Amino acid sequence: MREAFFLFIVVAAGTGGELCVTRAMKRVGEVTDFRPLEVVRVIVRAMKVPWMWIGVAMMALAFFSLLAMLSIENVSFVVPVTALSYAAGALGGVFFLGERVSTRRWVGVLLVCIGVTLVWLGKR
Amino acid sequence: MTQESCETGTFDDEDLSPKIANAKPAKLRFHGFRPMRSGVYPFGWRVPCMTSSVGLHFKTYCMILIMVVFGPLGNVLLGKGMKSVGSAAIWAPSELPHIFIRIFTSGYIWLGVASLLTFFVAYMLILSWADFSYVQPASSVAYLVVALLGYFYLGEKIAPLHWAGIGVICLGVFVVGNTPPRTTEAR
Repeated sequence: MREAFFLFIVVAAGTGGELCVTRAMKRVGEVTDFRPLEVVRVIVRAMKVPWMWIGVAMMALAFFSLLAMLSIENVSFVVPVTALSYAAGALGGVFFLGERVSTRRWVGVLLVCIGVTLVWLGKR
Repeated sequence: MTQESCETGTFDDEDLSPKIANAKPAKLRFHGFRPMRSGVYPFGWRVPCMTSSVGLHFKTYCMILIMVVFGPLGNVLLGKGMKSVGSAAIWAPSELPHIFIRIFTSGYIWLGVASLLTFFVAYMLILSWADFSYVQPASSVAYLVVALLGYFYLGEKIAPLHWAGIGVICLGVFVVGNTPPRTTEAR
């Protein structure tokens, strides 16, 4: 039962965190220079965007929930079931970032959900 | 290539301008990349910013490769580390400080964290030019990699239904991945 609770935290906080980080990075702008100093500069600039901090906090919460899950179940079970965040990610992309998600992409998301269900059933 | 050049439609790359004026570069590129599309790369390459399309794709593929290698490796190392910490199914709240100490003194956990940090930096960089709902699916080939690592490296037992589920997840990823990297305007 506990692993279902941890899974919920991993999916909800993880996806929420990634959406916040995306919003922050879109504000930072496209990265075109990959020299180490420039990359560091981009990271510093990203740290000045409040969305980045909210995102990182949520991802940290998701990370410790993932650790808790990993202590209960196998890696090959835990990581595939966290793919549930695809459904959450597509929904978040639409409602939070204003991205357009095509029918084709929704079909893919549905397949991912079916796959997650199979993995969960395969464990029993 | 600057962001301004994408927004205003001007080209600061001298070589590209005549080609775009005379020929149909988008079509040429499409044929050029065709084998990749039906091959092992489940990703689209149509992008609204025409000036840096090829560069944008190369950059995107490199970052995705880094993500697909270091993400699963990190998770597997964390899994190995957490197995020695003990199951969270029986954790009591009063034990948490001890558990945190055990987590942060494990070498595998730190290796896993380093690997995931590499993954995260690549992820942050790629999210600056591609959509979240494109990057997340594209990076998810990692789900197959993590199962293979779990099976061969950690010796985990994986039932046929479990493999089928991972297969369907990858199929979903393949379908989702073949869409344009950016649908919103550059800001």
